[in-house]
Amino acid sequence: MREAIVVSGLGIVTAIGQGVQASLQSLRAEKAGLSHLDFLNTAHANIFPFGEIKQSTQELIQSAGSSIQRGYTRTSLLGIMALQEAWQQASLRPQQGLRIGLINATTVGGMCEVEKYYFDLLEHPEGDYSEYADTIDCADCTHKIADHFGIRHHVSTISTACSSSANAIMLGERMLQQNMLDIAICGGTDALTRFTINGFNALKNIDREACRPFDANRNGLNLGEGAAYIILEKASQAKSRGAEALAILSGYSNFNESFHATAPNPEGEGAYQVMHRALQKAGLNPGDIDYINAHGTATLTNDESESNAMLRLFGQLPRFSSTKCYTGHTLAAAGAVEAVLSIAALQNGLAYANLNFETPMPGSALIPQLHFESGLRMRHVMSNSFAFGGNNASLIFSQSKPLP
Amino acid sequence: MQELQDLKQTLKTQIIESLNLQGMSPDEIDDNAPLFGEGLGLDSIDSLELMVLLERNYGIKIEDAREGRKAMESVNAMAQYIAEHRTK
Amino acid sequence: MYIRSAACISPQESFGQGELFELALHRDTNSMTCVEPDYSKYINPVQIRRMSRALKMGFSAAMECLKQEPERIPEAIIIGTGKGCMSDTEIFLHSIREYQETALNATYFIHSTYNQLNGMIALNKKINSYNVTYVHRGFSFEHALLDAALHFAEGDAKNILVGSFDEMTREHFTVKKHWGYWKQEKVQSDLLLLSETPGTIAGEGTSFYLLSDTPPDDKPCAAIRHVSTLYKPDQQDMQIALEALLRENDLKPEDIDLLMLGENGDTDRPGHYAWMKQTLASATPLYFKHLCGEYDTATNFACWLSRCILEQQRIPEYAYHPADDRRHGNQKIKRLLIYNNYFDLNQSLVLMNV
Repeated sequence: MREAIVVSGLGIVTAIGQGVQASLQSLRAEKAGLSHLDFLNTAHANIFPFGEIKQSTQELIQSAGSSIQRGYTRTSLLGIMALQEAWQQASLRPQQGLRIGLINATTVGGMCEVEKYYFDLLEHPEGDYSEYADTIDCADCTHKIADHFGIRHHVSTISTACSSSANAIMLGERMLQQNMLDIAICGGTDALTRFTINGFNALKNIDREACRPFDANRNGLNLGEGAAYIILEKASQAKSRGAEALAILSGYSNFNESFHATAPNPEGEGAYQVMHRALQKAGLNPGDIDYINAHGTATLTNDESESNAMLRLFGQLPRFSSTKCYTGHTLAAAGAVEAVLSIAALQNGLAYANLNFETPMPGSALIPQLHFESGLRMRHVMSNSFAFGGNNASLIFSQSKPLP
Repeated sequence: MQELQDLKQTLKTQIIESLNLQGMSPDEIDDNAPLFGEGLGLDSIDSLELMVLLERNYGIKIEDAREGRKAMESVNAMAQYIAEHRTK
Repeated sequence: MYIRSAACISPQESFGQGELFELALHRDTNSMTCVEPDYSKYINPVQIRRMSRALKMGFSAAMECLKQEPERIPEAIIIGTGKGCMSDTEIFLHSIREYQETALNATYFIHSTYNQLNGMIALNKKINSYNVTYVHRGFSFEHALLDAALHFAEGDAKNILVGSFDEMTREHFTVKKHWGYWKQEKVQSDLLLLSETPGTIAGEGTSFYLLSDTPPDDKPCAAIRHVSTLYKPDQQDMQIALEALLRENDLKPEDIDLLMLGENGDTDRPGHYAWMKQTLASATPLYFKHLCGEYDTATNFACWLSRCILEQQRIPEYAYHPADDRRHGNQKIKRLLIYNNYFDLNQSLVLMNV
């Protein structure tokens, strides 16, 4: 018998704000965080809009706290900032005898710093590059975050492209169920890098305008940066240590579509299967879902595939929107960023507006949530994350207390 | 006319090189055969690589993937597109 | 978790049906590169043209592993990699600079994403199920094993493909050399364990396993019984982890017949090897880093070697320390414990038996 796993802490930082409250303010005002770049040196800085967090890496060091020493990459700093919020909300301390695990996710890791010194190191090896020693992989940021919070029991990093942190959340649930951890801190962090911007540009799927999820005239995604974590634990433990249960993680699924290296099946088979399986796991019917935070990247292929899948599964769709038009696509962080926003929607009865939508797609003709709404009765919310290589993930969060 | 013939020949060599079609010779690529799907059997990632080929060798920048796909239907179509749009 | 089939590409002649190689190959370059198989047996010409070395190695090992058990379709594909396809990452970094952020080949970017190999295996074999890539440096392979163990405990899988891959490139060797990973002087690989200087030698490799919840009934089958990962452990942490491992598996220290140790000749990072040998004094110590070099997922090579030893009940001479004449003798080998220390940060214990 599975015991209910609850969320006892949320932390988030993206271009629309640091913290859940600041993020909700932007969402309430339907105000996107997209802009040209101020803090990353790239030829594309003034061509594409980005979800850039408007603090230099130096300023991030200040925000993250005085104990930060040299060698922290932007990815690590964003992770620390986001986790600070969740850590405090869940009233965690390193020395309280709990087996705390950090299951992090990233796609760029330390690339944000590596790409700055890489050629200098190769061509002028006599210089001092010790500050960023070992930042070249994904584990570095996880180690830095774990060290900052004194987490030692279990540290791990997942990288499945854009579904990475959704997979981290699933793993946390499973480790708690098998009694391998008492607290699972799950989420992801990714900073903007020249590497990823040029990569997505080479794939020809970045929009020069603000992205238009689910619109017939959508023309690609906008990249963003950010970090988000959720803290999971067994309901009984949260209760006994007096931590508030913000939501229940009731269902999830990971399903590989096996269709194409980068593109989803236009029919949405993978997206359908993963949502269907998440519902099964939660023991819910499609009609029980009150809001879907869609993957909604605004690429031609994702939105077509996801629309077809949602239409097939739900028939009559609940409120749905993509929040990538606010934050940009935060890659490995996206799954956790959107899980946090979904939980906030569940807690506060909110549905977020899908910005820049004008024309329904031919075929599915779906119309997303057009304006911010509050005061809604929310029982269960779903958050989708689909990735390169057909790696699809879907999460369902439910009310932890009966609704009035 | 000869110019276009030469262009096609060069283009085939560039396609083989850029897509690393090992063991294939330019003569094996039919001018009219579709490059994608049936025909040569290339996929969407190859189409991105061919766009890179056009940009690097001929100074042609295709922003829209759909337009790119049309310009690269066959060697004939590609050569025609290059002849009309090349900047180098 | 029973190892139904295995395939390993390493700096040794390890690729094939999962038998021990007879003689160890040595290198004197401080970087041990893989003996690569004929890829055309595993990868069709259309696919191979875009694949880098790491992908070719990983993909071929996975295909060989699945080929040996054609009836068993894995319900999950779980892979660990410390650095992913390093060469693709490097090429993309170079091309960003060379072409000043214009007209870049998407292929290298796509392949630089860490879960490329998972996606490729799934796509090729039309396997739709659970698919995850762990990228936590010296824990990458161990966490893939842990995830597989979770699936078996949950009872929702019968067969799981688990593996890891890492490649060493010339450039990455240079980068890590700068950070003091490698020995300054050239060392012959078979004498690595005798070295008395800081640093070690580089390595690379890939191994895949088809893990199953049941053993075959017609032959001995090695199994993975326990995996612990320890982040920056002190001796007390090691002791707690070892005691838990023995307790949870109902074992006494004398029940461990062999120790497979990741010692790599690095005098700056002695790990807890000496303590381990002292604590499990009745276990015969064996070694593997002089055969595969040091890399993020080197534990996987140890696993492959250990599986051969357990199933064949034979310890090759090259697995012993060159300065230690202690031999295991003819007693049956029932249990083996792998202990690996990845540069003091990531340390792991893997218990195997037959």
